[in-house]
Amino acid sequence: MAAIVAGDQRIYADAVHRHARPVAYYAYRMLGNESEAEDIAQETFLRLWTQASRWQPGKAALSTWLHRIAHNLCIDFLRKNKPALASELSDDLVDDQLSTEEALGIEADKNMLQLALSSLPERQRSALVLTHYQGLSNKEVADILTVTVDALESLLARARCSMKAYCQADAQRHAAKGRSQ
Amino acid sequence: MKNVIDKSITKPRFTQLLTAYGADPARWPDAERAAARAFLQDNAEARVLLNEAVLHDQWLQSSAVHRPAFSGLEARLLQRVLPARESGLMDRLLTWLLPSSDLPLRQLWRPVAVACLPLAIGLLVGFQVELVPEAYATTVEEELYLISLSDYAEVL
Repeated sequence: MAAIVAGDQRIYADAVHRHARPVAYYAYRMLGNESEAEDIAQETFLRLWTQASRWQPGKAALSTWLHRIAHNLCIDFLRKNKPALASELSDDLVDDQLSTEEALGIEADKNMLQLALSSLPERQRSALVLTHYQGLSNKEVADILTVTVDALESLLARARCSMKAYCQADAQRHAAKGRSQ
Repeated sequence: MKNVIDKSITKPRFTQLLTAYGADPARWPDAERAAARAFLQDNAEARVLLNEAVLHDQWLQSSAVHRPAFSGLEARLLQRVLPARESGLMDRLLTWLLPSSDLPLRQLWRPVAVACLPLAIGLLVGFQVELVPEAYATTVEEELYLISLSDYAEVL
């Protein structure tokens, strides 16, 4: 990082090669859109370049710091552009949305999980994506979300419970499909 | 208690762990992992709960998650022209303090000036600040007179 602070573009390129994809995947799972996710990744790495001196190695790993930047950018994006998605959805709303989507006959195989993820409140979604898909430790995720590990556990429990409803609906849908064939 | 194998793990706590972190012990909190594993070994009900959690984890990890390829992402990121870096106050101060120059004298005068600054300020303050206002200042003769009065008062 000292090299990036000093303006070494070779080290910066190395960091891009190592961390760009995890950051882009995180943004994709948060936003559900490839080009928006790439924009978030672009902005994250611009900030790595311009604000590298703010990184405190003793406090967080570089990947954690980059995920925190990406997380903040995603939250800003969701609040600016998708207030409906960013708002807190109750379990009832999740169920309503699910049945509506099913009624519309959307290609659920491909979209079910992304739909389920996007229905979660943003902090629950972040907690689940960062721990389950990005493979970060509980402590790292708690740092990124600026919550305690206990609060993270609560977020994860609520997220996974909401996802379970989708999982069961998906299983039922597959069973019904199997019977009809 | 039937449900308690380790003091720190009970069935409700084990269920909470599965609900929050899923079936993979690597995701469980470090402090509780060993106890939770021990609980799992000795409790058939816990294994049933774990199997349910495994199914849920598999669904979360399933191929239904469409993940874009992001082909050429790194190249696009590196093609961008990198802007000027935001330098912090400390960086700017250090740049001013230690300017890059071939002439050693030019490199040295600023740190020397900064090092002398506290001394200069101390001297200035020392000369300027009047510790006792002049109106209250007493001469040596007045001090002696006052001391002699206090001795006389003690005799009385």
